[in-house]
Amino acid sequence: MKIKITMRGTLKKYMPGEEYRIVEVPDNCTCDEALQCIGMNYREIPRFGFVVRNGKRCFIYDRLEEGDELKAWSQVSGG
Amino acid sequence: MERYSRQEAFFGIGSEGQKKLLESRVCIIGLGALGSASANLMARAGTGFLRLVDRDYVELSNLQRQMLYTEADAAEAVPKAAAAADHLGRINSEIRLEPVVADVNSGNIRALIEDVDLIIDATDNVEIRLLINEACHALGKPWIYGGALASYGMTMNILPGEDRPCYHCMFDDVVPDGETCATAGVLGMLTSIVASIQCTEAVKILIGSPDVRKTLLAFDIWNNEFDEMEVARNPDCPVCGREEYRFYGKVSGSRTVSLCGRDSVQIVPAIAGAAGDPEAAGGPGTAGTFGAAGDPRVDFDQIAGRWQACGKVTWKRFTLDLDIGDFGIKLFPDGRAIISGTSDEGKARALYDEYVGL
Repeated sequence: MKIKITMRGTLKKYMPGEEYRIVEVPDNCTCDEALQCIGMNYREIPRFGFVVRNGKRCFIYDRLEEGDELKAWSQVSGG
Repeated sequence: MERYSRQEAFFGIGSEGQKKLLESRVCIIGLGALGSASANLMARAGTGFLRLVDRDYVELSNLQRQMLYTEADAAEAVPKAAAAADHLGRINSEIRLEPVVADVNSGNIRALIEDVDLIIDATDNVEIRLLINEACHALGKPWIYGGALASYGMTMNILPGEDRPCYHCMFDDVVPDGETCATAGVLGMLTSIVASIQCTEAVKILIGSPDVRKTLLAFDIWNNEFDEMEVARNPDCPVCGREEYRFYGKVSGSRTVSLCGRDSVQIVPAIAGAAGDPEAAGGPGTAGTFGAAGDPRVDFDQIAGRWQACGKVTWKRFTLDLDIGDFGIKLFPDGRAIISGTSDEGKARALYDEYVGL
């Protein structure tokens, strides 16, 4: 299935120059598995924040569907 | 009231809303870029009582974005809480301002927030926000998260209530901070926007407006991207789901923290960590931690005398400074110190033990 992946905050450096990417991922995969399809392991990114599916914050182990938009956000912790 | 006439004319506030605001009590934790902007806005708006909390002092690199401070504050290294109260007192003398020069930790957070209606987060790291989140959950207080880094801003109202998400609900795994404003930079325009949104929400919450935002707002002002996201409560959240607090209510001992990007280390002795605990220290108003010019908990005269033979000693309005060549020690009245010239916590601890010895 195809989904749209977007990086936000400091995670943009993992998709330089791209506003978003349409990615072919296994059917019924999790957000974690979808990110791994573009070479991103959230566990290894110290400033990883959270994922958002179609405008709703979801869990990294939540499953995706065809046409979903997945956004990955960094933490924004400065002040 | 003439001072607030333009605000009272706004349909969302009116004279009734202004009256409620004047009766409100707010604590702003952190007085850097976000906090100084928020303090300015909330004081001018007529918040009846503002507790202004910060552990740090004004430096030249702050002036690009920390709107309340001046070159004179930086030259004198005035604690931010004291400088903020000083300036705000000349802007609005009709409200109460309580500057607090202190490191917020598990030992003093309850005393800092239990008598206020709302907390505005203007801190700069995840760990302190986790503590604020736990304390506010335990005490049933609303707080407003705000973060800014580079050109990215984020804010969410964390409201009490069984169906409302807490700050911890935003994350799957809360991992240590990565980049900071010292390493990734930050735009002053961004921090003003984040603070303005936080304060607008603060006013709404304080006057009981039905228009309080319930979403997470995030934006990149450099690339013109704006996101509004729904965050649901996580039923398995350790804080609002299971009430298992990692920080709140824990004993606060001596702590040593490297200040990222500053080549400095902060040492918080156990006495400072416990200073704000209402049961240990008698509640807000306790000298030393509460009130920037409160009675010192450490004897500056005695320490200054000891330091005379070691290097250049300067007694400023709120701190005692020792310059020993490669290193510097800035000692606060509650025994807390910032050791400059090293990011090595062990070295800093050794210097503290040698020269301060609390």
